[in-house]
Amino acid sequence: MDFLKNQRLGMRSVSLAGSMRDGIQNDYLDRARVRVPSELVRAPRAPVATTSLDLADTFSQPAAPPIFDDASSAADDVLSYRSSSLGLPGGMSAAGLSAELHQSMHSDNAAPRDVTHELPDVFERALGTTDGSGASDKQFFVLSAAGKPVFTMHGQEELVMGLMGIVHTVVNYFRISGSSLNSLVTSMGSSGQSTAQRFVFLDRPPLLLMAMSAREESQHDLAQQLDFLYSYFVSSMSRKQLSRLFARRENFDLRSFLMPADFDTLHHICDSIANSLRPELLVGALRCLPLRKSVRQSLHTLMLRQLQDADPTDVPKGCLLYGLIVAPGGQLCSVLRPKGHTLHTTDLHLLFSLVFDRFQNLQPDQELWVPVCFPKFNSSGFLHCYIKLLPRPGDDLGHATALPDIVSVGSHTASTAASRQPSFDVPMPNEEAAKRPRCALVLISAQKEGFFAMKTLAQNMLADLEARNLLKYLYVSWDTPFSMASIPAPLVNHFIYKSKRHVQYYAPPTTAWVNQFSNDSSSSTNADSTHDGISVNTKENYYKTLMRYYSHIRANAVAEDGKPFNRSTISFVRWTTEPQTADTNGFVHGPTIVTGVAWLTSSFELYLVCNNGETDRNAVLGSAKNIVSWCRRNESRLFVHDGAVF
Amino acid sequence: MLDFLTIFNPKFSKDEFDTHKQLLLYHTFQEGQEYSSNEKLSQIGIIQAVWSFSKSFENSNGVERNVIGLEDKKIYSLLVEGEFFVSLACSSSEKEMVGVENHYFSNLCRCYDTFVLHHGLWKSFANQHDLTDRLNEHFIPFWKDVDLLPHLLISNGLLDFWSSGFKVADLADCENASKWETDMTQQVLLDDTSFLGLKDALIYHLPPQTAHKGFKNYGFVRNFTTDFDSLPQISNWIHQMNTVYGRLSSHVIAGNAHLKGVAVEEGEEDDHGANVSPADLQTSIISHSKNVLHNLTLPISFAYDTIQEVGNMTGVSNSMSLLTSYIPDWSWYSQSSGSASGFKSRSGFLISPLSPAFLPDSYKVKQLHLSFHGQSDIYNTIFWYYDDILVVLIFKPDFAKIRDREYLNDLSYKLSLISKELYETQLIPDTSHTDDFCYALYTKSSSQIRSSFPLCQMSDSEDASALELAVNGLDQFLTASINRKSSVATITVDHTPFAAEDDGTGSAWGLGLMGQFLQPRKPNDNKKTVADTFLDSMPFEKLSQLHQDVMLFLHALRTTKKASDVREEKLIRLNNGVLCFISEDIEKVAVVVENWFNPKHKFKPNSCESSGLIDQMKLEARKWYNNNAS
Repeated sequence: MDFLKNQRLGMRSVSLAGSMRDGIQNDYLDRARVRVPSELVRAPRAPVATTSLDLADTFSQPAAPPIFDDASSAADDVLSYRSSSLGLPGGMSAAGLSAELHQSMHSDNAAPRDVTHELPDVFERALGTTDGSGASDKQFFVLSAAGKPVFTMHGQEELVMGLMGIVHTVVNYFRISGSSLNSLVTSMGSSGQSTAQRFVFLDRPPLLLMAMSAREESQHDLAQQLDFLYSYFVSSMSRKQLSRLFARRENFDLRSFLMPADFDTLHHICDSIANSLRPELLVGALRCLPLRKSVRQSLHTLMLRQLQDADPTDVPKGCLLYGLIVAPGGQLCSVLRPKGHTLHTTDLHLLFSLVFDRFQNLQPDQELWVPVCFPKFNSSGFLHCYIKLLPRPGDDLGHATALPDIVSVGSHTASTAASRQPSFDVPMPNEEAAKRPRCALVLISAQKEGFFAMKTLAQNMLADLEARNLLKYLYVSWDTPFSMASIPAPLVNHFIYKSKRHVQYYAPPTTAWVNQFSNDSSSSTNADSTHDGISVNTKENYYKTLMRYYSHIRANAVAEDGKPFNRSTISFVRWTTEPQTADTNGFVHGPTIVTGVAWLTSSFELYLVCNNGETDRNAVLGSAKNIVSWCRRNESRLFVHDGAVF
Repeated sequence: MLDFLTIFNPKFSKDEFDTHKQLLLYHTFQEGQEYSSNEKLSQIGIIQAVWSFSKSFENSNGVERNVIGLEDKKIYSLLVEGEFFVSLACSSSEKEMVGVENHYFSNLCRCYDTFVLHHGLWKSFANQHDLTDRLNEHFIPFWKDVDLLPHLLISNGLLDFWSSGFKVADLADCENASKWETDMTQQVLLDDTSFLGLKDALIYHLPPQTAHKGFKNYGFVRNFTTDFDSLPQISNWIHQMNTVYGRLSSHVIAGNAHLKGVAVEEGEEDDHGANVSPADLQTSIISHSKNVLHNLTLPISFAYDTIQEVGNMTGVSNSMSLLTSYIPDWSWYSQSSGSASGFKSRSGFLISPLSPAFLPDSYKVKQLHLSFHGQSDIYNTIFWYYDDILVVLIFKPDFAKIRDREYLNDLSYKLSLISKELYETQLIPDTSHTDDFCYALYTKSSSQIRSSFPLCQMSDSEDASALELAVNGLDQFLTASINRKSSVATITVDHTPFAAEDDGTGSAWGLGLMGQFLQPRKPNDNKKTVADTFLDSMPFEKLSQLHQDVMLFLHALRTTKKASDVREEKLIRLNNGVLCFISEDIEKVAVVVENWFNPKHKFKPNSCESSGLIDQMKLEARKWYNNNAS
């Protein structure tokens, strides 16, 4: 074991030196180097059940202290990072080093700061529930203009029918009097101390949609969510068809027309809006898979070449409108588009939700040809999408000889990656391999008969991707995302960076911390409870808490109507509790200090949540600056610029 | 732009045949717009429907307000006494001001509070028609004033965020600060004659906003009982009057003053008034007064009677002698109390039994529904002023001495000495120092607001000059007698005419108007504009923009659903280079703003005692925060 320990430390220092030397640009090459031995090291320790994940996590984060502008904040960052890395495998030496560093940095500071990665929940619990999942602190209604229920997020339709009736009456009343109902905001307390509920109505005949929220979301947020829901209806049946259905009979029952899959998808959309970490709608941007610039460029070149080189008899000119490669979770990898045309963010969100939520059981050997209406592109017509999943390298080989390190790493991180988006947790016990999320190739054509042309094109592209080993890079990038630790801001728990020019955002994965959470909680709870249940619950809570922080941080920089307070705003929010508080169970908690920052400029938006206990505003600002400069430096990796334009 | 105001109580209707009974008041502010009773009922029906709809969802306990956002207007609804709805609809076609609902709700609450102060709880009315009449008298003039002067709505600026809060004067600390308080307690409150009758005395400092722009020491100074529940309501009422009319006068407090727009069709009337010969004057005054009354559409019969009475008297003589004989003259001591700075201190009763007998009762004793220690009762109040100090004396209803001339004279003398003391100790204007920061501190338990933010009041008179303060006929008579140039007292909101009119009148005004008159007579008095804070010199537009910005930032506090023991701090730099800090905990909300560009910006936060985001502010602001709010 000693030997192994030394070896581990040795590898650790290699990785440290490696990343020091090459900087983060060589990020995943380092990881690949680290990962092989980490697997080796882990093997003998496998019987100790709880350590395996910790170890891997620790190793997946390069421990290299990043380059800082400010020396003292750098030291703080390092410390907070170290003190928080539970299960640090450095043993005594690392602890000693940490203590020493701490001593030297804080010789004038009597009380060391207690900074943890755990994100405390400072928000009031939802009424009547203890887990904060408050069954109906959020509700969506969709009804027809004649008042017939179409969809409800919660509750039996029979029960909410009465409420929908009121919505219908009220909306129609105001419509008749020449106006239209947009919102309803209630507040409680004799002096209106706090907003209790927000209702937003979206009247898009023949549909009428309503969102209700007792959370922090602003009216603008809710309006965005409704627009997305409405867009889903349009995307699945187009506005033309929708109007036609109701034109014949105003009291047409749309429920009979929709398929169970439609309801599933609607529920899924609502659920992901309400309960998971999906900032897409909040910031109104698209998410991209971080890829090395050269890889992305190769993808673009390849797609473009395949299109241009294609035999005009197989692939007629103008048949293809858009081509996309998308990683699971709706992360755009590359885009092929005609000059002067782009797809709207909402359209892409809908498409990704279609690929990864509705057709989540799609197998790599299957292909899909589906008509989809892109509401923002053309709400009255359909485009046709050819969807095919990209095989993982090694899928068809059946064994791990081709790329042993990647596969073994893949099998491990894929499960954690899947858990990153709870929605992708589709257990398929028989086929372990099939469980792994896959990237998808989507080719969009305006021609209904274009299937074979698209199929040919896709096959060519796929063959080329495999030939050039690009799939490997794609999956490595997906499996080993940037961790928070590779970004020079360890004070920060999580952040969202939106580049306004690209209309894309980047948020680091939460995997590491979430797993740490689940481990902590599962080890400290009863052996009877199922681990999965707890970890999912904790994860969900973590996502929800994070989203609440973000909504609120955003509310401090953006007004109800979605307009930022200022052209350029930087706004700090901090929540603190008394040093010692006991909860209802009598557990005494330490002080909570959570700082959030919203930074809006004409070129970017940054929202960040700091680790618990961080108090130095200048250090936080330093971290924010670091993130911005890091994101700018890595812009070509994080975002898709123009795509391949033909 | 106001659309309509309606008050209703769904409980007044038992079945579907008497739905009209629930409607207590419906008034439309749109000229020429008439709704049938059916339309009115359908409007209140829909407001109720929306209300009960929101009640069917989670988190609806304790909801007392809602805002229905329509495309072209908003409907603000307030639930009072658990069953009465007050709804105000305003068109929001013009560029929507942010946080405007705070202003509307604040004004609605204040309007309701003032009503309760004067007439008691709505539930306590046995007769529904009585209630409707009173509501008519009270709510409609209030909102007409707002409709006329839209900037009144936002005049409180960000203080409207706390609709139940009232402004407290922040006085300078002074060693013998408590001397006047002791005197007040011993000589007035515990005095043998008034001990049993005088329930409480409220002291306000209400400097006019022109002379002293600072708002720091404006407001409630103190009272002398601990369990006076109606303090916020009465303070806000006084503040409201002072804001709307610029200065408090007997008429204002008696409820006989209202703002009135000079409508186009009155041009003829005005010309007539200007060219009129003295012989025609009285008839002109009377006819004009009637006209005013009709325009106001107020069923204030007593005010009308007054005018008749005055008219009869003026038939005998239009000199002031008759009137002044009714009015006691206090000049014998007010002259002696004139301060060294050259202006004369003025004092006297605004509302007291000493006012002339022909005046209605509201000029003699103001009966208010006040609550002490949870017990609500009707108390007699009289109002007394000394320069910018207003003293409200609350007497028990059975205290007969209140009508004793001797007693009141004595009381007035004592109060003037005490006020002088207060002036000399705690109200010395500090011209040497201007704060680099502004603050507002709201204490949740007592609803007190301490603030140094200047109010958003229009100081230039261009808009205001189109308005007249029509003091239901009475002042027309008084001023016309003295100054025959015009038949209408044009008391504009920018206060200068007050001073100008005072030139010839002195104490002959008789009924009383608060404040010192200092402008015209002292051209050499090179009095600097006193500024409490760096914001005081800001022009109106910028100031109101700042108030809006801060309000917006403050408004986000409403959306936080944080656990009650969590303190929230926020820091933002606003567009105009103002740094704004807000903190809220279980007890209070503090707002601090300072100029971010100030070159004096030198600070080094002490990292050991890092207490939060306030550390980014300058030393002065931090000191204030640490002493007062943290």
